[in-house]
Amino acid sequence: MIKVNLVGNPNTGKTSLYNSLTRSHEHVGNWHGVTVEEKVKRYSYGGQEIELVDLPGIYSLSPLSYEEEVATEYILKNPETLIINICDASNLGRNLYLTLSLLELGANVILAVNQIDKVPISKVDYKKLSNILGIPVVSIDADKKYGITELNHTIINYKSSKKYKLPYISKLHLGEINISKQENDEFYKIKLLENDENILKKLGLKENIVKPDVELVAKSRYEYIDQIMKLCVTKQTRVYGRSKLDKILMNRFLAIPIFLCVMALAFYLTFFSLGAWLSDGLVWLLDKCIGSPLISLFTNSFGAGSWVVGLVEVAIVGGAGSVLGFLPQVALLFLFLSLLEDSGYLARVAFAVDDILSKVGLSGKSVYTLLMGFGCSTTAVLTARNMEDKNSKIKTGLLTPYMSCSAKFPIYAVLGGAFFGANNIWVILGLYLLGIVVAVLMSYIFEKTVLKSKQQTFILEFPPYHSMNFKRVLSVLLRNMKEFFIRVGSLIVCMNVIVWILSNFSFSLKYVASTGDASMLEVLGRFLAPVFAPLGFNNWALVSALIAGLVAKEVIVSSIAMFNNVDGGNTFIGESLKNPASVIFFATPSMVISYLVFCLLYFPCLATASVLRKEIGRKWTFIGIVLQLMVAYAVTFIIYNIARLCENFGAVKVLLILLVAASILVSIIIIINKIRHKNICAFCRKCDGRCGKSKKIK
Amino acid sequence: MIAELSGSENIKIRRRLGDLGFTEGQNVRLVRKSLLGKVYLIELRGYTLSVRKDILKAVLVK
Repeated sequence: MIKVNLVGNPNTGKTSLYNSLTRSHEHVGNWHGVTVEEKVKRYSYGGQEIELVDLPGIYSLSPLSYEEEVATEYILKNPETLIINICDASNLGRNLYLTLSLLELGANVILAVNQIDKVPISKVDYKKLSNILGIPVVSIDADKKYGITELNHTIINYKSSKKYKLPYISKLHLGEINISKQENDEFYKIKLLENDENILKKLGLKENIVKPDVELVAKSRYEYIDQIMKLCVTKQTRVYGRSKLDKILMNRFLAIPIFLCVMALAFYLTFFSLGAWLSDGLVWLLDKCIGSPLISLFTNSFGAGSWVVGLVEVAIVGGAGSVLGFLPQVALLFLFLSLLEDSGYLARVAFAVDDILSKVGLSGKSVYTLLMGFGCSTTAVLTARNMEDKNSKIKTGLLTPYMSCSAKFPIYAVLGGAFFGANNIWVILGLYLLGIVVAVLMSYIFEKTVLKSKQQTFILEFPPYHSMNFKRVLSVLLRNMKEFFIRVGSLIVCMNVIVWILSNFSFSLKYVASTGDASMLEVLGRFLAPVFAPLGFNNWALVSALIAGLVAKEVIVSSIAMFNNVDGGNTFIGESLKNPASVIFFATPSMVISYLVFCLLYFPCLATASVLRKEIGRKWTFIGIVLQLMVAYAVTFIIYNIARLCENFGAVKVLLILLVAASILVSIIIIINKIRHKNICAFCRKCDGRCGKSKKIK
Repeated sequence: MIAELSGSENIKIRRRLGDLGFTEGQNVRLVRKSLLGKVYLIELRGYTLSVRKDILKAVLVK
């Protein structure tokens, strides 16, 4: 078996090549750091078995972020393994820098030059490049699968020769450095010049024995690259990542408003117009074609009133059906998110909002994680790995569950829709914004207290804009629909059956639908309900739904549908909850709002919690969850009471009073600040007049 | 414009800037700034990079 590692700069198409070689469908995007951990898969070519490892993107063998560390460690641990170094033909110069680092290590390298752009920026003479570097060079197009056979052929015929020589090494005066290591000593000496902490540790050195000179190393490598480029590449016609579109989209003042409009449009299309129509259609179809026939089948064979019929009707058809109806919307949401990512727009958004986010202790890169959090926080948390600073990574991870993920949307749509009808769009908008506002506030609090960002850096490449082809749209849609379908079919149905059993059998295991005894869940719910009395929903059913929702948020909707549906004849929650009078659990709209807010904030689902534990450790996950419960309780309490006051006294009056109170508070804070900083220097705003500037003016 | 790396900043960051192609004698061009002016969009070596201004302190431009 041949082992092969895929190594390259971020966003050069490593995962595309991985997918092409192994016929997989791993997630790819037009963003720096989509792949955050190594992925392994075996395939065979020409009778040989090949094990391919896809690694996160790196610029050099000196890592800054966690995911870069993963890749670098992997390469250093397996120095003899064959490496496919994938380079972007449009940005070859910068990409060859990593190639040189790999050659310094003495690795076995095949260079795969990927043509991503349709119109190549420059023409590369591959033969010459291969001759100069002394390694095989293959031209490929990872997406269109061009050159894949040739690459496979090169892999199985590869013979380690290490014929290459790097002329610039003589300039580094490595002979003057003495280290005990025998193998690859050139590589280690260069790393000492670069003052690489990990290498120092590996060599057992406490302090660097040479005076580091990172500039010299970088300069010599790039001088060699410039020579190579002159010989092998016709001059670049365009700058990689430059686009005329950016004049408008990334205009200093328009960039953020345009981004907000794009997001608003995406959400409107997903949840209200296109998505809602598709969803309504699907619900009707499911009801007519699957739901009703299934129920009548079971009614005929078991007789009405039997608990089996109840289970099928309520837990499976009603409960799962209520969630399954959201399939089109969830699929569309993920499609829009990948459109944003694939087009290369997201990297630009990160640039536009970085300085604003840095005020609350986040980085522009957090935008990626938080936006992915609108889809699914479980997978979003993983993307926090491309943060360079550990505290920023923890912060971003902890904030992701505050976003309205796709599993929370059904709750808003169903419960909000029942009470607010057409106005629900504003309720949902409010909830999405509330999630963001709470996350920003929490981030600010973290930044000012325990999780101060230490060495936050923001360096991000601008990828070229890409349009998405039809094939890719289809594959994203299909993959997400499949995942959602499996999730509903397994996890949600399972949870529904458990909730149904717990809510329909008493502790003595009697079917309670006909007797009117308290079920197991009812007893538990009633026990916990008083805790939620200040929030307005001290109802056993709502509380039990919250408990069930710990596993997956969709279960909240299906559970309420089940409880609501005990004696109703409707198949789908959409039907049974369309009329507010039929929702027995909510007396007033303020109760609904209160419940929705609590659902938004209260807990990351179990899957997210377990990923968090892996990513940021047990301690921070625990703190995060406890904080989230407390924040949810406090915020819900405030909002519930404001909403209640609005109900009692009219919204305008209450809002006016709140506005007045807020302005009084703000002016008090400003006055206190003024008094406290009376002597502050007007020039640096940090000292009390001791800095040079103010003296000069005086 | 000609860039030169100065020794004042954190060595990790200087190393990364070197890796990205900020080397002595290299042409760099400031393309645009973000809203608060703290992040720069820079073109060098035929590609585009957004970088925080404070990181660029290590880069002296003649």
